[in-house]
Amino acid sequence: MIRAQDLTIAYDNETVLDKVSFLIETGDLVFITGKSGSGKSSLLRAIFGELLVQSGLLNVSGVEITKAKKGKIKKLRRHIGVVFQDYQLIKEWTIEKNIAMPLMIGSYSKKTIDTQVNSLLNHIKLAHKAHRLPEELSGGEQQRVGVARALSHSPNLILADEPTGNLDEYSSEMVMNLFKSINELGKTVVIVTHKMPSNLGVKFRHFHIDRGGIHEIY
Amino acid sequence: MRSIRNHISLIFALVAMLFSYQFLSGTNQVIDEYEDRLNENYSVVAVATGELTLNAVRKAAVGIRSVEEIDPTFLIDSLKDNLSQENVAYLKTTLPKFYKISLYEFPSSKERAKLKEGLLRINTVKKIETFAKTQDQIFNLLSLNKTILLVISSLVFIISMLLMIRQMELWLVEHESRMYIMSIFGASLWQKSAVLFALSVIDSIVSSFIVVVSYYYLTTNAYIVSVLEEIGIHEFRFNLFEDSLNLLGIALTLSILCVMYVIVKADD
Repeated sequence: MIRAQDLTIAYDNETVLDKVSFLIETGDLVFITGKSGSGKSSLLRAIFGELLVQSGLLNVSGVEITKAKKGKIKKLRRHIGVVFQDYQLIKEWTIEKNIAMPLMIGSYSKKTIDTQVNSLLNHIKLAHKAHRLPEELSGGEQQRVGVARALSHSPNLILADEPTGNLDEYSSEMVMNLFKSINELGKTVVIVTHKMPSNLGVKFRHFHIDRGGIHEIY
Repeated sequence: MRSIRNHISLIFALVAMLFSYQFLSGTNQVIDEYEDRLNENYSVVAVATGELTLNAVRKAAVGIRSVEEIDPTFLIDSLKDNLSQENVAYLKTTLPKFYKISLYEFPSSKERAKLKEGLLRINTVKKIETFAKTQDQIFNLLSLNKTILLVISSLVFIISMLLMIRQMELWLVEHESRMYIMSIFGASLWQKSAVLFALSVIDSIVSSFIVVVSYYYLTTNAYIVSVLEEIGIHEFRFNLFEDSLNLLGIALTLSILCVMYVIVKADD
């Protein structure tokens, strides 16, 4: 699913990841930890093609990101779901429309969009707030919408950047449970976090980034 | 409130551009009709010793519409009282032929000189009278008006285009966050920018409507029409259907071009 080989990521000649190699298989639940500024979010941004890597190879779902053209990356992104720490919901759109956005981009039929959005709204227990704007929801609720949006187009790969960073314990657990249930469906989930969740109760892999290197802990 | 202000900026630029276009086109129409009328009353007189055919004249000069022989009787009649019958008969046989040469378009001074030169190359033509002076003054005045209007309209066009691009860049900043999120999920350039296209289409319709209503008022208002007629302008016409479509087409084309320029530039 994701294969990195001698991957180097740098900002203005400051190297954050130096010739790292790793392999994430389809269906893996992966946690990437590291200190602030260690390069974990940069790695995630490189995986969905937002950040140009300096050297090495990075293959995501069969697409060689380092060599792919803009159009190819756009197509790849339609098969990836991204969750952000600050939710990144479109503030002028309703919750319903935010969740439908990846489906609209993929030009799905209105019927498919309605069915999928309703099912996700029920799953995240926010069906009664479908027509509200993001600012009318709590942080935890907004993040659940963010997760639902990332799942709406049924991607095989879900990338989450500090998804529980701004949430209280209750909301964090709820969001983490959502990721677990997604992974149980065979989807690959990569979560960048500064703090590992406790009592996860499922099999997962843990990578740690430190001083430009990436180490698999278990 | 900010949204209304944003719309007004684009509408203002579009209205200025459409007004200048409509005035330019209207004034050109008036000037063209003026020139036509000038041309209808204008002709060159050729004095020739032999017969002058249309073919021969067309071979010698371009833009010739017709050649018509002028009956000299009126000239002889005016001299008849002072001359004997024999002299009148003699005059009739020796008098050269006079021709009135009409043109398709009113000639500039350069074209007139060329025409004269060409006609004088015909062996039988002895003299050409182009009646340049008075016609020239009017023609030059009209040409000057056209040029001034074209320069002003071009300036309005350039400034309006810059204003429109600036406004769309502001829109782009306003919608930056939404466009970024959509791009993360693989949206194409057109999907991300759909709202900008929608805004520019709405503003194009609004600005065309403003110009159509204002211009229609100007061309039908009794006071304005009487003022225009006093200065000899009778043909300030406005075709509500055709001109409205024309203005809407221009507004849509220009605003969509501006949106495309801004989004492609931002995407790079």
